Amino acid sequence: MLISPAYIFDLIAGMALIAGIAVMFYFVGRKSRREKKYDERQSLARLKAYRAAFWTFVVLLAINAFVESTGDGYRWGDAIIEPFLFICAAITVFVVICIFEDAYFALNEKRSFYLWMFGIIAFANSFIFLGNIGNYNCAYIENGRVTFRAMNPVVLVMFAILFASLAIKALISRGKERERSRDEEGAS
Amino acid sequence: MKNLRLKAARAARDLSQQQLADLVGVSRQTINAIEMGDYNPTINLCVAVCRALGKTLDELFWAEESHT
Repeated sequence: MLISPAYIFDLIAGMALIAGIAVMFYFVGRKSRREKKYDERQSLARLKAYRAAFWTFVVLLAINAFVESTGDGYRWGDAIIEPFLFICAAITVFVVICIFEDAYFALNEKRSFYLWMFGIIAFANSFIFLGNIGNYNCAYIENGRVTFRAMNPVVLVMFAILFASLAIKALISRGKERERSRDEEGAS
Repeated sequence: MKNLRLKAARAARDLSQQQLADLVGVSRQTINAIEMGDYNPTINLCVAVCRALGKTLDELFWAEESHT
């Protein structure tokens, strides 16, 4: 088989892009790891959240494998959307547990920034999702399978859950804070 | 079990939970969890809290035996 120069160029360009993204993630991750500091209770809570996220991922993979193996080769989604959905579910479990255990934010992080960021990402994805509904070139289901285009609604649901979790936790914390300061004022 | 001795020692120094947390280098929620008895701190954190409040480990963290 003769490999065309265009194919080789595309391959090299693709690999360079992946290498570039990996390098970017490494440096951004290293910077944020250096800046983020969690105390011992938070580290412990994050460990529990990691464990829950890991088992969520494993259970979803097992259920999916069972469903697809019993369905005579049936696959409900394409090769991208299936793992993407499970990864998003695991990340959602991790972040929601961390939020409710007061272990999501490092000691020097601001809650309001993340609340805005989650809200904006959810809103942007809902905009893309709603825009694509009437577009026949962007079908979410093709030949009975969910396509990779369903990544938008998946991300929308994930960030909507994260946004709601942050908002609920902020309300709970505000109520507790008020109660606590009333107690301390009463004691003094 | 609530750690009322820690709460009393903090109040005696006129420190808020946030101020004590900043002195010790943990989150306010962690100090609250210790006071409420929801979290058992490691010995390192206990020592840091004791140093910040000028108390001994016994005074703040030694659980008194209950006589039944």
